Amino acid sequence: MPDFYDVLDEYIGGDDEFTDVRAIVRRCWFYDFVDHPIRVWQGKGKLFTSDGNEWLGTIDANGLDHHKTPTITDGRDGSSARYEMGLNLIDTPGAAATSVYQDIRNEQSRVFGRNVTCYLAIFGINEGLRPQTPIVFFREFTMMNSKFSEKLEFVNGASVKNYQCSVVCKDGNFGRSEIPNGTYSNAVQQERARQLGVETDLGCSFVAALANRTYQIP
Amino acid sequence: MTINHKIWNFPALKIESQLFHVPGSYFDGGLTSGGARIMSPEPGGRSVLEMRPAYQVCEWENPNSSWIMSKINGAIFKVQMIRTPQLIKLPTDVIYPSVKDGVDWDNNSPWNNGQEWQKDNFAEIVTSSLEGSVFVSVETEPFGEVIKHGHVFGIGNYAYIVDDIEYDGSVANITVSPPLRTNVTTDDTMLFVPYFLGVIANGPEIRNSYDAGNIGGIQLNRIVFNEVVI
Repeated sequence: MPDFYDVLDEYIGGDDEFTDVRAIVRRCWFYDFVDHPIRVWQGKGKLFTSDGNEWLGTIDANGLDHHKTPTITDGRDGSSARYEMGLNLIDTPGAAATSVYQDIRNEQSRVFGRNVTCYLAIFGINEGLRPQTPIVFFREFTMMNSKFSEKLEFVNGASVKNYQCSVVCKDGNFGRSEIPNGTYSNAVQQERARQLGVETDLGCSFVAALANRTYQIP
Repeated sequence: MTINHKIWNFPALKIESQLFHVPGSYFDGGLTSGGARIMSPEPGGRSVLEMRPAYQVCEWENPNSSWIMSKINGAIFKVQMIRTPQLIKLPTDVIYPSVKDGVDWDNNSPWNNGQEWQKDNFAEIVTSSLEGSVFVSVETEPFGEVIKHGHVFGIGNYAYIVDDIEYDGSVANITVSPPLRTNVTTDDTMLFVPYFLGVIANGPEIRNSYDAGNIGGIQLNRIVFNEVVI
């Protein structure tokens, strides 16, 4: 099977102007609520990926995206941004929107600590909604909190019941500032490695030599 | 819990105009270095059926227009298309082995060319295709190479437009748009008079034209159906 980045490279080809590159890539989001996994993708209609999963499109016939995702920031500086994602729950073949809404709202344990994973899918020509290229991992977030609202709206003379669920997420940098329960010394690090089943870990072998010295960062 | 959707049959109104199309959508992708505008097409897309009912003179007896105006809250309609040049035109001198739902005259005989009343021609599908893919192969041996790109046909409750077609002997390999909405097997058939599943997208526009002044004659505005995928 073709690899995502190989296919992307093919589309990019020899073009060096970014405006000349045409590759259709969309995001797929997997909300791993306990008992109610929700798979949605940024598009129209049902998407079928090569891993056998079905993803529901969140963009309606009028081009409105019912899935609100924030801009994803770069976490390489160690910051842990707060992301809030909103989703209008809809009926799916397995479950009605109401039952998913009630279940997630009533039992917070279905939400807290669970993951939201974002994947990327690339669409080739004539592949329709069944791309051959497997989706690739993009980012993962942990759901920390959830908010719920249901409202009744009148649109064009018809009443519309709207179940909105939003979750607050943090990325992998969350909790890095907590105090590590360990000591940085070569002996302790070797012992931790042994417990993990790693033969040698030289990560702290210079720690002793570095103690009590002042370093000037150039 | 399984959800069963109620599907209403669209009433058999006289139709003034009808158009099936798959407009798709795109994201604006900026300009190329050469200056051409780039649009990044949305994968998949949805189909749309637009129709304008003709002037209805029997609203007193059958207030269909009144009923349609109340079915704008997501009610799903199954619409059988009428014959327009979008549909595949079969040569009239061929007797098709593949007909269904045909009815004989009351003397239990067909027309003298062997065809029945209210028949619905169909073509056999020769290979299976999965939901979401865009290829269908049909056998065209009984009627020849009459299917061209731009034609509209149906499989099950869904309508598709022929995006591209290639004949391999008598088998037509068709690229369809939108992508297939169901798994297609060789037990399925390609309908020449397709059905469309849709919800009314422009309720207020339709209601505006209900006019009681014309001694009960009513002509609804153009109805736009957005495709429903179940």
